[in-house]
Amino acid sequence: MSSLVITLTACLILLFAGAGVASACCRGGSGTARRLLWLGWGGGCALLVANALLAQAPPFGNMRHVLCFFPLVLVPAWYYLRRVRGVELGGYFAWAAALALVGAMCMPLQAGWRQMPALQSPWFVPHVTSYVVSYGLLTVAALLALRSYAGEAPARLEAADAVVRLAFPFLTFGLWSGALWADAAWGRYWAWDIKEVWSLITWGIYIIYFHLDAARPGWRRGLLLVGFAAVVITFLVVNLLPKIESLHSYAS
Amino acid sequence: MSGLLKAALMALGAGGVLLLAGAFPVDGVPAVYRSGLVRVLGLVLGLLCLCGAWRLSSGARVRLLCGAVCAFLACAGVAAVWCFGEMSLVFTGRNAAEPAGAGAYFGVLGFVCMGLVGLLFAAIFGFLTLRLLSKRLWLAGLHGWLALLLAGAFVDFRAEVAAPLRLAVGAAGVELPPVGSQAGLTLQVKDFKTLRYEGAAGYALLRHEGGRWVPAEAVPELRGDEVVLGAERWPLAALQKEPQSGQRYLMLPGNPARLLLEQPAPVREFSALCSLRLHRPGGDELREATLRVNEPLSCEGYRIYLMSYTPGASAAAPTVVDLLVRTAPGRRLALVAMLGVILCTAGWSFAPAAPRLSLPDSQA
Repeated sequence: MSSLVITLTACLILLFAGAGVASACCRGGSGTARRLLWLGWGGGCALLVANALLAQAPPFGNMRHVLCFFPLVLVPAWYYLRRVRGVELGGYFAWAAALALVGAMCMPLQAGWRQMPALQSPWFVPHVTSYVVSYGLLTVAALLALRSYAGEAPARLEAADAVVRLAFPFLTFGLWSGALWADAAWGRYWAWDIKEVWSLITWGIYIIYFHLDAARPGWRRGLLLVGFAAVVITFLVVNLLPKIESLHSYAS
Repeated sequence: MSGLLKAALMALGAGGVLLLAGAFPVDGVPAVYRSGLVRVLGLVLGLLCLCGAWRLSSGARVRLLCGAVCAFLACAGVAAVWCFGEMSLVFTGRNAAEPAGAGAYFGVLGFVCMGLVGLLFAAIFGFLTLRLLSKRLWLAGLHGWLALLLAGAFVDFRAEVAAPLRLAVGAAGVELPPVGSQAGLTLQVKDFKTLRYEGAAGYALLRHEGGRWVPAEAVPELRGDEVVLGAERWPLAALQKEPQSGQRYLMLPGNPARLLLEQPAPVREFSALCSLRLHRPGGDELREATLRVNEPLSCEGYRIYLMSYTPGASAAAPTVVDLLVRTAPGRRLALVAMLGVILCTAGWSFAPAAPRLSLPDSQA
């Protein structure tokens, strides 16, 4: 099972990278890129099942599990934005998914991981899923903000704004559902744990983003990048720095 | 039926829902709320409320009012359902701090009905608000809930009391003073159980470096009745038992010194059977409840959490259970406000830019 998980992850990286390249070659999103994205989503489902069989529990308990889950939520988010908001960002979503899977490949497999008692809560899956959705979307928004330096800034920043507006409710749900869960598990809804604090900082940065006047695109673009830096710190740095003690250390 | 009467019915129903939510017995509400009659009253009023909502949906003039009342009802319904989550403990006996008498079962039935009514109103509310509320109203709601969240957190900051407790299994209980007008209680851990994942125990090799034990990179394996690492083999029978925790180990000579440690399969679940002696004016009342991680117990103004444990190997060195006892007057407000923030953020993000439905007064 371990080798299957590793092989599947490697194949999905190639698939999403292929979708990214295909999308870059054809402006407006090519049919090939779309097919590859959906194929990758199917592969992501298979990877989720393989991880679940290996862990004998919902596979959201460590960093590798969570990173493997990114493609599964990014593809529907891309489809939603394309169909409902009319924003075609297939290439960005494909690269974001590939990036997450590369990160997963860098993490240890932890075949012996078992869900500890504190994680056995009805909040576990929705809390992690909402954070994965929001972080995936905010990665796409940051990629768009970066690309806006190369040209077509108004259109790309407008697309980034649509993505952030979709991400923010999930970010909010992740933050406050975590507090509701903590109230049952840790005996307090806010513990000033370092991961909690950085989650709040991230949330605050995007709140400032929404309060900024749309007529100041430079500031908003800057905040998108700062917000993404805060996401990286919350998601990766806090868990991976060995000297940091956190109540969320089981996510490392 | 006039719109005013329908609205009055709705308001009465709202009162009924709240009355029933208030009848939730675990949190120590006044005794009058504990009677089954109050629950019947709540149920009847709730059904009237449902009837009012049904009739109101045929008129257009008062839809806005209906939406506002439904918002109120939805909150009450959610509160009722939320309470029901804890009330179900009475049903199952799991974590139950309240004896499951006939009245309690009747109350549970009433609560199920009211939960359904609450959910129905939540659905009506969702439908209406999606049609009536603009982004600005959602945003205003979001700020309002944030203010309430801060208020709840501030109340807790000023008045929350939390105390960690370490209780040995079977040892004498700890007395907790009364909170407000509630009864005081004595808490004792009678029994403790752990459930482990299936699978054999693992083994780890530790090296003594710089005054502490550091895990070695190589991991030994169990083969038959021997633990094997490369060319080295250690029989299982040679492992000794640590008297305090009962964990098995083997000291290996050499420089640096090494320690072979048996690691049992990971713990899947642990639970503590607690005895609660409530010091009521008429005499003590004895109850039992099982505490689990993620399933705190509410009793007489306290919330009691199971946090961790230190395994013991014998009666002389029993298992010690780490509990947290807490009173937090602002907790409920803060938690409800968190749900409000989540709801309003979603509404603000997904609501259409302008209201879709106009409300002409001529459609009375």
